[in-house]
Amino acid sequence: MHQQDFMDLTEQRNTIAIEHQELVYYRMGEGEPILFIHGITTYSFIWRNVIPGFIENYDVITVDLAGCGDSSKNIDDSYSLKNHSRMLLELIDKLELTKIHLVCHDVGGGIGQIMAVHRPDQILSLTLINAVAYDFWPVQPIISMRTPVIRQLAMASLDLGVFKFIVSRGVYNRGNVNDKLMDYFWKPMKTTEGRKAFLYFAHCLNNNDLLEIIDDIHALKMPVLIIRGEADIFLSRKISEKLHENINGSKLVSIRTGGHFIQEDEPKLLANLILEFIGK
Amino acid sequence: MNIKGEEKSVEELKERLKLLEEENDALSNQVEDTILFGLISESFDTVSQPVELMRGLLEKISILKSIPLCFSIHLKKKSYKTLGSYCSVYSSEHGKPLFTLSREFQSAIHNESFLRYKYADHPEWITLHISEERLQPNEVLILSFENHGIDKGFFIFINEEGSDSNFGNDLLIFHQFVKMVGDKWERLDLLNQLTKLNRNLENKVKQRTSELTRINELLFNEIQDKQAINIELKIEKEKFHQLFNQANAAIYLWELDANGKVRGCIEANQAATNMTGYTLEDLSSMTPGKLMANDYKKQEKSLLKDIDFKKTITFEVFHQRKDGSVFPVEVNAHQFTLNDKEVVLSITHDITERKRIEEALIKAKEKAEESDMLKSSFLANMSHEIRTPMNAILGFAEILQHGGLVASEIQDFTNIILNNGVHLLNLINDIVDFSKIESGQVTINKSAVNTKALMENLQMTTKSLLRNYDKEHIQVQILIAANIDNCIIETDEVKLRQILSNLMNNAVKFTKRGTITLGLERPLPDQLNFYVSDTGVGIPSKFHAKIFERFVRVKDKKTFNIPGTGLGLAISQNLAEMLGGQLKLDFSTVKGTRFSFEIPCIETKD
Repeated sequence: MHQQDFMDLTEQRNTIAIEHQELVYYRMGEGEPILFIHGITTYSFIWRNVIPGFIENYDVITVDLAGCGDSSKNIDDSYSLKNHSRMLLELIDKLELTKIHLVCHDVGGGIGQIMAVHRPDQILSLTLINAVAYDFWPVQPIISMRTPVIRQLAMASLDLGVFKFIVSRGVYNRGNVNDKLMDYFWKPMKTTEGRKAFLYFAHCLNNNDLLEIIDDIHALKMPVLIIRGEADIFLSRKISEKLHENINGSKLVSIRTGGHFIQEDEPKLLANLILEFIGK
Repeated sequence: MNIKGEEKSVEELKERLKLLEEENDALSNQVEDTILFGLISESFDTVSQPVELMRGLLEKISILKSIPLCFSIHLKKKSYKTLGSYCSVYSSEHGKPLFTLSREFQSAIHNESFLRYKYADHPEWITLHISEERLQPNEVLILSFENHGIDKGFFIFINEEGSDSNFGNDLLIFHQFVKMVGDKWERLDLLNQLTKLNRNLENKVKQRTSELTRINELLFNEIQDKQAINIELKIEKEKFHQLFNQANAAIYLWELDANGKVRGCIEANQAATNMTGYTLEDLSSMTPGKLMANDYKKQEKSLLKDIDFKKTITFEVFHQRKDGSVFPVEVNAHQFTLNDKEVVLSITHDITERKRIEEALIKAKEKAEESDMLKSSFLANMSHEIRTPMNAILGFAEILQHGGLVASEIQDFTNIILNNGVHLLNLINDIVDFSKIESGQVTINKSAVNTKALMENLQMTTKSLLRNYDKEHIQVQILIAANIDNCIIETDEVKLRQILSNLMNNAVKFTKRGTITLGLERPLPDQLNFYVSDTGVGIPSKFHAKIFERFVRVKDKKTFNIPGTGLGLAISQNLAEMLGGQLKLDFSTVKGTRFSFEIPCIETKD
């Protein structure tokens, strides 16, 4: 599936009311359900080049988290990882999906971990791609040694140039960062509501949400695939290593030619890795 | 160096490093602030509404300086107006106010340009309508601004405890921000005012343009109408001009002054100039009086002044041309007002021809009257002429009837009766002839005529007549020119004989002695000329012109007793005309008279 095709998926576009929000999700294909969860600065579009490989054999669901993409941007409720995971579990319940695979990226990985901890029997597998965990995030400064990530994101929300700079640093192959891709990234930043929701999402991120489930994570029994883009400069390599170390039976794959937004660098490789892993 | 010394130097180095880091931080902050300020400033160059500008700037400062609540107000005497607000932890879509400012707060900041305090020191000053979970206010920073539209404006920033960035000690960015907002706001305000003025101007121009267009259309229509009227007028004018100039009558338009006196001619047509010979320029300085013939007395001319031209009047006068010639005219004049001018329109007909016809008619009438009179006198004469012989015939016939007369007496009386009977017969014949001629009943029967025989026969008859008048002493001779022999005439011999016989009879009657000549000449190859001359009493010249008229007889003491009908010459002239000739009186004096007339002839070849 091409980028353009993804934007035209109006037939597959659905909305569902969850708590005080209205979530937008796309659903296509038939088979075991698989939910793709994006991270901060992106939304469902980030999966557009990955999901075509899944449609044939899976019931593919991509979702825009509350405050992201086309979903509502009400900031009355917290955008904490806990809240997001609760909303997604409600989504799964409402869609009556008894068993489901989770594929998570960035802070979406944190959300996936909380979901897996809360519904270990319902989650068929957990794939964590350049995911946050423990208290190792956010760590990587951008402009100067002292600038916190929130500040970077704040600036990114206000200036397409800054945003493009961040995205460029987030990919292995910078040639992939073109106007079309930046249109996807920049779309929610065009409105005050979008910017506010984006920053509120960042504001709500709290290490404690993940620190308090460390033991549960380590005790997960379902298959866990950890994928690391070696060129990810935003998240520490230590996160994936530590997760792999502590989760029994987990698999760690490191992709040399992948950055933080590895979906843009190696979508097919990524899809194949996951398909192979969950297909076993 | 001992351990203690090393520790000390390590501590110093650490201290030094910390200072350097702080310096670095400060520098880094300044650099960042400058970059951010640039970002803020540039990104608002395209904003066109002050409210939008204010909201946008508040959002940016909020985001970039991590200030959860920023707002700006316009402080008035007893109230305030929120110009814009941004709260990073509260959905603005709720539409509810984020804060309420107390009176104390308003008075506290009223005269301040800068104020910074701990929220907890005056919690009653600003009441926040955001739950404490979301926002725990720490410090409040207030900076004043003013611009064209706002005399007392304030920016209010509220941060919270433990946020990423408190206001710090360096407030340069805030001051710069406030200044920038002020400048941009004012610029926008001016731009908007300019736009508004422009729009007003455009509207006025548009309105004016549409009004002008409308007026233009009206004018255009009016012009078109006028043009159409002008064309009509031109046609009318041309028509009028044609009528005016083609008219046979002379038309003058005389302008009057305030006293009713003629100033001059202001219009005259072609006929006027043709009729008088004067040019328009000549006429412009003339009066109707000057057009009148010179032989009118001044008094007569002045009569013109007394005429009331307000009624249409018609009169006849004589006009005099420029060349002095005089001609009669009929003038039809009328006064009226033309373009505030009093004018007299006079239409003048040249009545020369009419006058001539009138005169001719008068003459014809006079002639008819004379003719009537002649007829009456003829009838009177005729009754006399007829009664005289009739009386003689009846008287002598009566005497003869009584008997007892001697033979000679009987012979004499019988002769008298005979003579008178002949005379009466002649008279009646003449009257019948003339009546026939006048009524066109006479026909001409042409045949070849033997002139010589005719003339000799006439000579014989004349001699016989002379005997009857006891004038046998008068000679009767025939003179025939030599060039007559080889020609013949074809004419009505009876009529020819009647003419010549009449002329010969007259000669006999008016001649006492001498000779009567009947002659024939050939003055032209195709024309013969008969003439009768005598040596009689002659005709007085005053009668010459009238002798060929009907019923005219010369009666004076010499011819008193000579009988006649007065129709002879008239009959003869008419007959001569019928035969293609003309009877003329060649001469008539006391010594004699000669009449002649010509007859066409044809040359013969022996």
